[in-house]
Amino acid sequence: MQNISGNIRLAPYRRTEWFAPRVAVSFLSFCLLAALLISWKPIQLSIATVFLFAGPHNWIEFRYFMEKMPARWGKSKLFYSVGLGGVGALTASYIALFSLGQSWYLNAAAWTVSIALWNTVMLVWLASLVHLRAKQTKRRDWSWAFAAGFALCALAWINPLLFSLALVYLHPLVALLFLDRELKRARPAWRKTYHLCLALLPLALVLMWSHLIHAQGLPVDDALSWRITQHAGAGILTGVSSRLLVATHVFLETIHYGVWLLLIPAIGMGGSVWETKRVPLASNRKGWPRAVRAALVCGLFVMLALWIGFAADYATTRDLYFTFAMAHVLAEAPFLIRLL
Amino acid sequence: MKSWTKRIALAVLLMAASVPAMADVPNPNGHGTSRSSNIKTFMHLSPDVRATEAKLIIPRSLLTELSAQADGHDSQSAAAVTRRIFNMNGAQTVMAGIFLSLAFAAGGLWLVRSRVASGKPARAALGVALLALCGATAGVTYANAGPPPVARSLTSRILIQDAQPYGASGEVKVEVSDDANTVTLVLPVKNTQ
Repeated sequence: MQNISGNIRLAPYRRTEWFAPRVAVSFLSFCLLAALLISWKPIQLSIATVFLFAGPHNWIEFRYFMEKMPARWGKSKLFYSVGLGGVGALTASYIALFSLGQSWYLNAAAWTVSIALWNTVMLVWLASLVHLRAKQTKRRDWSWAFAAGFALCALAWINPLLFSLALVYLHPLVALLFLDRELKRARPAWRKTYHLCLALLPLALVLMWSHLIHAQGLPVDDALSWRITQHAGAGILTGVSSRLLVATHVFLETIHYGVWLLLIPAIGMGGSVWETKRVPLASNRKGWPRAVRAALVCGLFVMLALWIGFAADYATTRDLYFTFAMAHVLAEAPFLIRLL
Repeated sequence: MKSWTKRIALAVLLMAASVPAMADVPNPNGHGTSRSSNIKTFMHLSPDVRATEAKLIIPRSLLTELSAQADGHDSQSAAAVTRRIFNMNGAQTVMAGIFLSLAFAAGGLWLVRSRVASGKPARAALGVALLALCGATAGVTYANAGPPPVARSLTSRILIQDAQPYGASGEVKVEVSDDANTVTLVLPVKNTQ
């Protein structure tokens, strides 16, 4: 026993055991370069990133969720039923709300109340998922979920539009949580380096903000530019430069796309997104391998259709995309909670 | 005895949390409707013993300058958007109150349930944080008690220090003057007794 402890003490300290310089340099270089380019041309890069990466990142997410979905739900039946049922119901109601808002059936007050109501249902759904997950794992006490959920509901009613805008900015960061879970599972040695990178991420934002805080607002000569600035919250945060808002949103979205398109496939999917051996729905004896492959191919066609739509009418396709893409935003919740 | 201590502690905690709700928070709606302008000018506050009402005098040159800069339609729509974003209607206030109460109740249940478990200080800290969140959100539900009478009309009394935390509001007659060089707010002088 003494010999073992002696060996442990004498073992040379290896920097690479917890620090992965290649990961840190790559991640931070990507962030800094993205921040610089986006600060320079926010509108153009918003158009370009959504055009190029929106569809592919959704396809990768779909593929990732398939890998995480068990073939038989077993004791998790209620969790997945509530999770996927909630995704369907909330997406449908969001699309209905968007359609009513577009067709002027809702006045401003009704729209505000409807958004608050939708946010409330979503928060209660999230709290329910945390509660159901907590019942499955006895390791942690997650009974605070409803208290936090109700407090957030109050905020959602106090200022529904600001709350929705906060979700727009917070959603890209969810990808970083998924990456953390994947690193914990597949590359635990990189995790501290990754946390260090995350701690430095606000620095990139502060640099960007210090550069853009007094910048003039973006010219909104056309409907697309106006739509992009509105999506970033220029209509709500009227005192903040629209250039800063758009740049911040595009920067966060770029990180989101980068994580889903590069890092998660490389770390979490073993580098191959076409292999269905690791997809329980396909590899299980009672699974549906053909249906899984068909779904993946269908996803590719949707991605292609999205590109054609962007090329034909970018503004309309962008509007439609961000409405229907609510499904992937919501779908992240049950899978992330399941990974915790 | 012990139970009394707990009850008193709970009552004190509740009172502490309700302070922001009863505080006379200036309504932020009043500050949200203005848009930044590049035009700067001097303003003069002028207590006047002969004046019978508050009067705001705007130089015509300044008004022309403002009109030239501001696009009327844009200003109106921006103000409407700001009102829509920061004004709370009755339903919103009621719902926010209900959810704050639910959050408080659920947080209390969580604290009680986890009382015997380990890691008490961390949980207590989280509970306090939740309480602070409730208090902070209660603060912005605009439970305005209203400013004191001195700040409800524009007279020379608003220049006293006691009125400064509230600001002041009241009717003002707006005049455009060809002769004036600065924006002047004439305040009728009234006796303090």
